[in-house]
Amino acid sequence: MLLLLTATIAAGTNNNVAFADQLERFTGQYVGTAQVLDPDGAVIEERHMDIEIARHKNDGLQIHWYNVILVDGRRDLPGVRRNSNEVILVPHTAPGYYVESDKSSPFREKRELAATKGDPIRWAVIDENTIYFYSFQKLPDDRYEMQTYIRRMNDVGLELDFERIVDGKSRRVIKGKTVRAQ
Amino acid sequence: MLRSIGLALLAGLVPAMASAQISNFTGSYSGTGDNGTAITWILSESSDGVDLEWSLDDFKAAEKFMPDPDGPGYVAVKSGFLGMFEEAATSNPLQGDPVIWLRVEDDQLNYYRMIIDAKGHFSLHQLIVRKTTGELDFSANISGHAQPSRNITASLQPR
Repeated sequence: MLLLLTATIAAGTNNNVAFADQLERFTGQYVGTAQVLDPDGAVIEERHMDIEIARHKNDGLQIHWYNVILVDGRRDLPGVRRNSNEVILVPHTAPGYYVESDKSSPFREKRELAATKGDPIRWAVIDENTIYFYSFQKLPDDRYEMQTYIRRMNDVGLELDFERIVDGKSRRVIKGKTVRAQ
Repeated sequence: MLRSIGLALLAGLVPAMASAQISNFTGSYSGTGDNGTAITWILSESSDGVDLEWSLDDFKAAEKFMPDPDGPGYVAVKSGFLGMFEEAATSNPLQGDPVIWLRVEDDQLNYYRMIIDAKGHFSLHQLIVRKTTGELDFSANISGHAQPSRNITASLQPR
């Protein structure tokens, strides 16, 4: 039994290592634009995007992105906003299944999460061409929030689809296009 | 153990209002959704919590709920399949645990169930029921990994 368990773990580790090599195709720097849409599909905000994807250690992925929220379609007017975010994905229990790590708290993914107490659950699924990143949270009023970030590779770069859903209703949609920077 | 004792004590302190609200949705109902899906809904109260059995086509579930010590609703303390509870539900979806809870709001009861499988693929069910004269209005929103969400509505009849 112990031998079987050991063999299973070893096989899983080998699969993760083999899958890690496939992460290389996502790495690079991407620049582009995105539009924030209201529930009727009307554009309510435009932004410039800058995405950096790099390997994290041997088998993870680090995604860092900057947004510049434009004013009247321009980035040189007062009121322009800039924000940045980062997520580090580390392998979980199966090839293609990743969980969020926190560089400043390397043991975060080890802590026992309590989703029913409101801890946000963040994880990712990566397949041949797409990184699906999910964030799920039970809110204090017992509704829920689900955020989905989809980054899909195409011939020239990455397409971005983001949606924030609160209690079954779409609250925010962002669609973007980027090209790989030389 | 302490958690079980705490939940049991809380069960004895359920506010009368909350109990009355959940009782608005008890009963045994069945029907067919607008897409032809067979649906059942059986909700009952007992001395040790709230029991729910429901099915949506081939998907069947059974849960026992207790008042949520951290919020206004109810959280599942056991989950399994119809007629057979499995282990107590905990709440780390990254370890495969389902996250299941109930929320009562005005005239409707919301049921939530989120689970992530061994590949990271999630499944999220949100069921909403409203009691009307002799019927139970039912709607389901189901979403999952890399799939568009789908909605099913039905008017369920007493069984």
